[in-house]
Amino acid sequence: MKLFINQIEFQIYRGAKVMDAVRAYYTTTRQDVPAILPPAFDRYGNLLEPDGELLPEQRVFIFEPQFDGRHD
Amino acid sequence: MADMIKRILLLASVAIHSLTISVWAGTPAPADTTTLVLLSVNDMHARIDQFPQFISMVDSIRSHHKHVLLFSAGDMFTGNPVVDQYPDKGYPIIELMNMARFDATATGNHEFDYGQETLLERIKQADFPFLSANIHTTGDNPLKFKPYHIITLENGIKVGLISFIQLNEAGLPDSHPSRLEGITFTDALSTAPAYTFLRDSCDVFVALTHLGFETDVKLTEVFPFPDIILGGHTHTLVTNPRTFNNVPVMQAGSGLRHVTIAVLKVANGKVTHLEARNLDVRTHSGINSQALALVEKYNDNPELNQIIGTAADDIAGSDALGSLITDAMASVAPLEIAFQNKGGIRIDNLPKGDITIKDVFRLDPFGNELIHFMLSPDDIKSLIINAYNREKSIDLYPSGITYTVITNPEGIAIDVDIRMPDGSLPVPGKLYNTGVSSYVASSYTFSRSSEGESLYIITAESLINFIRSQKLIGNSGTKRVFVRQQ
Repeated sequence: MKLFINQIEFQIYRGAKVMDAVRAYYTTTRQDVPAILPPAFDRYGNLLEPDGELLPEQRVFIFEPQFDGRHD
Repeated sequence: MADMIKRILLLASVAIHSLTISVWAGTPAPADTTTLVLLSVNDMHARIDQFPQFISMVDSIRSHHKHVLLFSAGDMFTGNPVVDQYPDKGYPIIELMNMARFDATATGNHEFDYGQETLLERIKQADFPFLSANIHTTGDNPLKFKPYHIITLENGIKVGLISFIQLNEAGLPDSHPSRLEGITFTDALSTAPAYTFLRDSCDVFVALTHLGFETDVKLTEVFPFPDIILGGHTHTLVTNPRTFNNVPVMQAGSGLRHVTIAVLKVANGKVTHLEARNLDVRTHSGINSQALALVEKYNDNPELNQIIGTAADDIAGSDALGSLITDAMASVAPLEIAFQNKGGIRIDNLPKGDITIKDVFRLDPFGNELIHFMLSPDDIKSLIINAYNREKSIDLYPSGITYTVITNPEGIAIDVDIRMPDGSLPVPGKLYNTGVSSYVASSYTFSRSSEGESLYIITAESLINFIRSQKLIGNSGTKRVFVRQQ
């Protein structure tokens, strides 16, 4: 299914959880997957727990210390 | 676009401290106003350890308010071996929910994880109804779900509940399709308008849903009638409560760490005031001693020491243990090939003799789900090469094939010689049903010929089932992975 993390679109298997999507985001953007994953939020600023289930085309946001807007 | 991301993340960091919403009808409360407290948890996922604090908290709220209703927004099962491996799977949490005096639950996708027969038994044991308006069973299926439920308080005020379950892109709840046979599901957003009449049939109207937060928001667009939506599924901890189409949408994370509390003032047949926020159960100081005794009894359950099979000899080292795990994974239909990463093997040796359920969770403790991909031999090669090159060493242990990694003089994998169990080469272009853990599926880079889907079974569960079916396990000395320099 299609997902967005920090506006980056990528595909992930059906049934993926938030933590799977965050890991896949790092893999997709060719970054090392951190040992401790950053917290994730929905488009309304609510916290998404790591084992939360995802909906198709859901938009998820994470803090990236190095984030400089280069994903635009 | 970067500004938008920063705005949302700023909102998230600030809103954690801002948990209250208020919806006023605008007029002073009449003298005969009733205060109704709704409590809702969701996605407990069999985490029973929090129940002693939770029940104490609920009892404390009940001692201060006459009218308190307690709901679950679905997914009470799956996520704790103490509950999932109990002989009557799931029963411990039903007993605790009965003790807490739940008034109703939404039916979540994970309610189907133990199979329909077991779910039926758990429903019979529950002192509260399982609701869903978009699950439909035929006449000869004893499994039935009430689409809605109306609770009448002592003073005659009627509280109506409607419930819906999430469906994935295949039109099914997220559970293995084999567990859903004979049941039909309809889309929640198109089903909901048929229940508009409930708005006028009750004084307070609650949607108790298992749709996920963003689908709950969409529900308010086609069905803006509930006084509040108490939802589940996405494990969203609403830290920034707000209304959508004038409907507050709440969700309380997961694992019974939080509970939504909504305080409603009801007068002249309508809600005149509503406040909702999430409370942290872990900060409550009280403990219900009866619940604590029950939780301790379940946690000491000798069932986890139950012998499920025998190791014919010591199963030592990653090759043998990885082969055991992947043989178990590959035994799950429709898989024919499976891979386990080295980091997921958490013990060095499964000693000769009895194997217990506890041993399985020591070997494979992470709760990773089994993910199914259709992979060609080239896809499989890309998986193996990328995995090997992470640390320039063997990382993936297979079932259904053996393989030799071919490295250059610098130790970098450049090719793989894959062999089927009979020594033949895999068929070029053929797609093989391949299983990997959710960790590998999300963290490893590989080409794939299908999007992939969870089989909604954790790898430890497949191992328990496999050992039970085989009884005598002889993976000692198994080696399926080799390295050769070019």
